Amino acid sequence: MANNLDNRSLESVNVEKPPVATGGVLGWLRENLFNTWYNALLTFLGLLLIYVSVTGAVGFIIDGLDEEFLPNYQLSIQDQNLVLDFGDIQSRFKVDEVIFTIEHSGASSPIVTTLNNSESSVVLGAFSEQIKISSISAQIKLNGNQYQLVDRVAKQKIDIQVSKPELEVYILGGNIGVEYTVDGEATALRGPSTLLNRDHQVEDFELGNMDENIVLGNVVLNYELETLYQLVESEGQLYLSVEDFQRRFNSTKIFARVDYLLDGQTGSIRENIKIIEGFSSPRLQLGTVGNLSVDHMSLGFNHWEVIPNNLTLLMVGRFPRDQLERVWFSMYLVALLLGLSAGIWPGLVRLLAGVSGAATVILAFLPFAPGVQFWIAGLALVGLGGFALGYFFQLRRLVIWGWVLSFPIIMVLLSGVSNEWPNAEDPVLSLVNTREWGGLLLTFLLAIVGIVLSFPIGILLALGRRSKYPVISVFCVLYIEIIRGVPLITILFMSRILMPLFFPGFQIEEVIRAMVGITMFSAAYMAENVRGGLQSIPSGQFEAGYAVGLKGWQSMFLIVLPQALRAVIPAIVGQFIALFKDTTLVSIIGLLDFLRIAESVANNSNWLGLWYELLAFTALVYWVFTFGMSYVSRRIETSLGVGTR
Amino acid sequence: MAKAEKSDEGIIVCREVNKWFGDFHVLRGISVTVQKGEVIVICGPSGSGKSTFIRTINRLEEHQKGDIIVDGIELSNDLRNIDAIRSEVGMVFQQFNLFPHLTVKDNVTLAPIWVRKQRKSEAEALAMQLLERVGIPEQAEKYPGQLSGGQQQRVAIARALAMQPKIMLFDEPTSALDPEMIKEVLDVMKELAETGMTMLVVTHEMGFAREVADRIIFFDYGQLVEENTPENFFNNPEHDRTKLFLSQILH
Repeated sequence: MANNLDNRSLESVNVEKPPVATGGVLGWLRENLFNTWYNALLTFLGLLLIYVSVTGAVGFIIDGLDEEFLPNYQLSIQDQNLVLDFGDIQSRFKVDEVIFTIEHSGASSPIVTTLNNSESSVVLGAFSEQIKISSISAQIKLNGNQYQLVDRVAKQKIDIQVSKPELEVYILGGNIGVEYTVDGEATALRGPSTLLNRDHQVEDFELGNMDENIVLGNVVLNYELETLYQLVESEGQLYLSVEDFQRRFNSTKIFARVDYLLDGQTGSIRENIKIIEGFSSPRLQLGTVGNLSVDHMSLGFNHWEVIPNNLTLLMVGRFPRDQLERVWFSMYLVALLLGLSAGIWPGLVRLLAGVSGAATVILAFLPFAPGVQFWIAGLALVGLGGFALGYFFQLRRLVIWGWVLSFPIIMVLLSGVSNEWPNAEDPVLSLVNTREWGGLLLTFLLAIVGIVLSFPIGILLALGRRSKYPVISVFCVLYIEIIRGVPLITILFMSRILMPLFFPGFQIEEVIRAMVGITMFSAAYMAENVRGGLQSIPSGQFEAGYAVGLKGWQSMFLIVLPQALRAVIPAIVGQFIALFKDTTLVSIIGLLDFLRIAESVANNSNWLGLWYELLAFTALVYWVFTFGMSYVSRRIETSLGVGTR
Repeated sequence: MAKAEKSDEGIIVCREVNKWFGDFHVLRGISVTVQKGEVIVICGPSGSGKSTFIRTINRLEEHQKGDIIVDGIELSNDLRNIDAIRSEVGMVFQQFNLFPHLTVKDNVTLAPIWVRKQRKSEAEALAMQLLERVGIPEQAEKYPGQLSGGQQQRVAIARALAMQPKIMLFDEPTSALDPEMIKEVLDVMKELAETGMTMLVVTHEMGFAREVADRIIFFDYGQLVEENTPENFFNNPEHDRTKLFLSQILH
């Protein structure tokens, strides 16, 4: 034995693996999750919490209810009304689609009609099983008062490019009725029945005398499939002949798309689907209806389509739709500068630009409208081009000036120069009232202005507060303490109500006032953050600066301030994040920021009550950007942390 | 005493310098004259005002009474005079006071670039020369926090020298150092003294004082108790307070 041991290397003998229970995943679990009984309890509680919250959220996001969750419902006809009675409903759900069978007793009158609910559109049509409802949306273009159909896509709603915002079209069948929204109030407009030609092409149609100023909201064109039935006149009444139906089917499927939301409160909710007269279809003959039974009912938690359908609105608010390319050009400018910067400065800037670029490329593949996809793809290309330029030419000074000038350029791009230049018919940069800025665009503008301006002002206030000249320090202390003692809402109100009082005849746009208010507010907090940093720097740093001959301001800006700011990066970024989220408060003075726009969508009759979807989306967007900010701050901290004592 | 006769021509002339911290009288009529090229060691018990004294010479502390004339410029409230003096007088601190957010090289080049308006390449060449002189050229790209105490103090000396000062003030340069690092700093200071730099050194390093100093000044209670050559100071002190002090630190 001894000889054997000598011949082998000592390095490779007596080597054993650690006991299974102490190493690897199992060991980690034992050590971290189950090392004591209370830790184990905590682990199980945590898992339970995750299970409960995740299943709820996932259920909401991916939609759908199992059959067993179906509420009790009853379908009946009462006093000429088709009544879908859900009884007591405990949980929040929406009825997406109800397909029910009405047996008819062989009379000549079919059940083909358009049902309308007073609150939202309910379209009922009668179709045989084989015939699917075809819901197409069309892109229509405003040409004077004429709306011209330029494109249509099956089963999808798409944004309409008209000079007035948000015109959407559903085409369901032969006769076309138009519903449109005027300033949020639904108005029905019955269009001529000749809109559909034999080939199911929608021809140009006129909306009649329409006020130039009305805002077309959603235009819903309903049509019924003509080929299925014929109108016959009998004893002075119109009937629809459905001989084909009767020959082939004993019953007719009635397809109902129910767009309304059943609120999740307890208590009996009774939705009446009132049958009204169709556009030109015959009156529903109740006598022909036999038994009613529901074949299929699909229920859902969510209606995510509200997001893509209102995306433009959420992004830019009421910004004139024919001027949208100005928003795009602003984004192109930022993309170009970001690309250039990434080419020049490696590290964090490049990482940031890379992530934004990747996000843009992903967005370009999402099914936006083709025009939008083109713009987004261009955005990625411009960024890439900028990167190449920056990488090979290192235009440092130019890029820094570009960033400095980008903001005024973007403000001019967005607000316009003149309605007269170069000529009154087709001005290049027509004036856009800042009141029409909205959505995420407005949120960004407010946040960026607030951050970029409050940072230097805050630094000056912090320095002023430490000044040895009492006039300066007292002013700074008063400013900081007064502003910090007042809620942001009050400041915004003051900017709205008091500024016109103090400066009569001096018209400042509301957005600018909000920017001033937010900047003033944030600067006071920024000053206190910076002051905290300044206090953490030992006086020896100043002395060393003086001792090598630097002047006071040089010591401050070259030595003390860089260290002070580094020390309070977390607090400063926390302030930036708070500011970004606080921009939602501008809705209180009537500005339509991102959140307020989402709210307005949920109040739109077509998307009534879709709070969960809109709030989840806004929350996601706010989270993405605030998380981005805090990630960048952590990266800056680590990259600046080199060599700290 | 022979040197005191030439006081009017000294590079530093202090006459009856008084200073108070509130009501506390820290400097009580200090008069010292330093000749060009002299190395003066200032010692004394803590709280005796020796640090405060050398800090008045480049106006880190303001004196309230008396005159301080450095290289022919009188220290007054005139900011231009203060700036002029500060760029002529280098200072090394007990706590090094390097700029932690800048590399060693940037620490050294900061003042030449911003005060002397040197070009960056020029300042960097000088910085490398000085770092070589203090023996740490290889640390130029590191941050102060990555260096040992002795290395940091040598960077601080190089930083002060980068302004090409006529006078160097050392405020207990070795007190915050581990024993084995003291020597490397003292060696640099000795080398500096040999080149004929005018130096005022507050220190407890009596070996350094004996070897390098032209004169030793002893402070207590804000007063200049004794001013003597090293030889006489250690072997033949005039004042009883000096004898007590020496017996306590040299035992």
